[in-house]
Amino acid sequence: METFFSHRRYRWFWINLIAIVILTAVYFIDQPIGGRSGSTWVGYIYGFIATAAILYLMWFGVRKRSYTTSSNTLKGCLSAHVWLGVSMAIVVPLHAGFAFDWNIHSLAYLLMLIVVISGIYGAVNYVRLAPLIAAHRGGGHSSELLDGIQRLSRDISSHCKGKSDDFLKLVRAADFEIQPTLWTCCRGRLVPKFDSSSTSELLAKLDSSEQGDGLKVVSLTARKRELGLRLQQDVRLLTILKLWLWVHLPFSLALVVCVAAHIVIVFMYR
Amino acid sequence: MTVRLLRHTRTQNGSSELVGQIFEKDVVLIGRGADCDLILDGRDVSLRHAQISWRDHTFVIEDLNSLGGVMVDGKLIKRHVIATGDLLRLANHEFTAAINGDLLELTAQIDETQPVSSEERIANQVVSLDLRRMLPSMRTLGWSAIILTALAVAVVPLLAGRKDPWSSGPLTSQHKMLEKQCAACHDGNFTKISDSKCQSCHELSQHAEDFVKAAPAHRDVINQSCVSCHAEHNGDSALISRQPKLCSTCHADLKAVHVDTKMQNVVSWSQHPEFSVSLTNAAGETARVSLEDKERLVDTTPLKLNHQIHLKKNIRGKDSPVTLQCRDCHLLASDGRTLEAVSMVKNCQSCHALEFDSRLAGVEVPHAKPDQVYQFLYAQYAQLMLADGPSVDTDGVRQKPGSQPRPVSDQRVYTRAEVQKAARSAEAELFTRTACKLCHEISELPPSPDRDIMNSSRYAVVAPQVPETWMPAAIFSHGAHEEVSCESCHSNTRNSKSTTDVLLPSIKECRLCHAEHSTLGKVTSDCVLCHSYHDSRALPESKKRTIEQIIEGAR
Repeated sequence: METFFSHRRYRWFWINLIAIVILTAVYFIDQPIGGRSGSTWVGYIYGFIATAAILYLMWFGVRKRSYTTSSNTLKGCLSAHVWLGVSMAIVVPLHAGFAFDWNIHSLAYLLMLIVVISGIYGAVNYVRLAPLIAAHRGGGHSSELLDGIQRLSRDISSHCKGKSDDFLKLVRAADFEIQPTLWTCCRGRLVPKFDSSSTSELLAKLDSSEQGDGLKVVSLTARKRELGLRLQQDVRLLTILKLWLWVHLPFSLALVVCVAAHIVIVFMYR
Repeated sequence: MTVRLLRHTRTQNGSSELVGQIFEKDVVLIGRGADCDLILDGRDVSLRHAQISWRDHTFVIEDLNSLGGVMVDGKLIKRHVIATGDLLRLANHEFTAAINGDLLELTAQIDETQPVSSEERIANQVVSLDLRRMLPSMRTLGWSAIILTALAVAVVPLLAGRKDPWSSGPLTSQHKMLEKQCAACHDGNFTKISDSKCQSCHELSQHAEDFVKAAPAHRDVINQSCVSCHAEHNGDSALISRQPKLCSTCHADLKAVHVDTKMQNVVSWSQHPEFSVSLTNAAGETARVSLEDKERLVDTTPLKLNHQIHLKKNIRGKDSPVTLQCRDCHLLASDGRTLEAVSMVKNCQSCHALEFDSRLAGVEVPHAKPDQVYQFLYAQYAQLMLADGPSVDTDGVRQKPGSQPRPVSDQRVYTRAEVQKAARSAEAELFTRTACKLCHEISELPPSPDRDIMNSSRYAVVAPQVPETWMPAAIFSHGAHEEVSCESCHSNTRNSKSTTDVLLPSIKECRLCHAEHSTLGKVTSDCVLCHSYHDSRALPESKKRTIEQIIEGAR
């Protein structure tokens, strides 16, 4: 299956690989006075390339939102985005002559690495998880699952009306509420653990008049739990699929600010 | 007792409702059951959940072993005396208590805009499962990232006056103390560092300037700023560039930029021409002669030294036979690089004693100018003869007053002429046979009537003028090569019989260990290993500053 990595037989991968090989070769052939650094001609050119690339990569974020683009060109753009982004992790050290220190210039590279790595994580996850999600849904979309859960909850509640405290105890043991926090979504722990033995104990203790309803409620909660477990798998995948963007985007904006500061400062203190 | 219940409800359409209920009983029962006074809904509410009773003029709330429990101000209780301001919580229902005599007022705030029931909460979860609900919005995060980064990289360093995070790398160890003083070198106005900044501490030397004068057409090539070659913030190795191309740019084809040059082209160490030595001829003219040019390679220094004889085993020493080593005469100078000049007094005289008379054993003439030597001899003989007999005058016999004159035949009388004769004889012996002649070129001066009156020597010595440095444009450190035996490089020394031999090693010997690139097993040798582009000159006193001024970066 063609992913955005392998779009058009890895076209963007090869373009970037060739560019990197050329840039690396030029880097090693050039022997500037005072050593390789960002302030040599090769350094300036590579810095310009990296800046232009960053601006192009940022522009993708704007472009992606516009609905006028066809999906095919979007896929091509995404492929270029991914491979160009990965290349920048190599071009920037070449620009700097592999000189890193505790300063804002290296901070810019650190921010870039965070952006690139989070991007790779997101891209790999997308390729890996998208088919899983498609398979997982099995016709049940998250909101449909939630609808089902909601309906079952209402049924369970309607069975509680006017029942004894023991009956409510049974409902409390058998029923659950999904707990949507960032952590439970990431880990797929929306549905709390279920203790079936205490449920059957409580069911046995029930007054015989409530036994029938008790059984019904227990079966309803079992059905609800089943939907819950499907939902949590779905939510886990969806969360992982999207979470990286909360790192990728803010850090890319921080990177642009840092690069701007870097450029102003290096020319101010030439 | 009276219990009044007020329900303040905030409805979803934004309006507010107030519903009241009054119970005038001694015990008010609260729960889900139909028999309760105050009926509450919810899965955590027991059929009979709690009761409020009036006892000893106080209101007491008791938990009737309920499912959801009763809490007062966040604490689970079984029995509690209600006070004004208590927050009572029964399962998921909350009431604020206020007591006025036998009236207990319970106020519930019901917010219908918030989901209460389990179903309602789940309905909301459809939305809350979305990451956008769990995390700050992208817009907020994005702006935060922009503002925080701008603060960290620009605003805070500017306000705090700490610009070292802007430094692109550590300074070289020579400049470390300037690391906090950007302004010591940088103007910060988008211009390159001017040479004057460098020259406030460093004196510019000549190579480049000379070159510009010689080849004005290439001023652009050479007239570069200090920082175009001396890179900072780039590690210790970058400050002084060691790249051969820095030299070979011009020296590979020197004639092209320096028409009158007599120097040969040098492309690299492997193609470096054979070394040339600076030889001065008798007329005082200095010429560079290649070590390959055997015909012209003649050391014309007017001094005779036979290395072969000196390096033989068990040669005659002062008292016993000796075997000389190179280091016995050629000592490393205090600079750790060069060799001390060989001196007669320090290196030769212990064997080559300058004695002149067996009667004056141990007395040596000074290794000095011929006149001084003669004057020393005269003085020595005058003293010797005085000790031997009475002093005489050339005019006649000196006699003590009142004494009988001694017969002339008895007296050992020395005349000035005799002292002179003895001194002249010793002088001739020293200069022409035993001592000076051995090493120096001696010439006899034409007769002069003033010579004896002036006490001056009959001989002249041709000044030797031993070259101090054979290759003045190169830096060689003997100290750095101490592990190597001298003859390993100066290989012909043991066979050399004449001073005319130039006993310097050729470039071949150097190449045994030195190579231009990082060749396995060879010392990486760039141009500046032996040559310098511009020698550092001492900074004039007027430009020197105190340590404090340098650290402060003050002018």
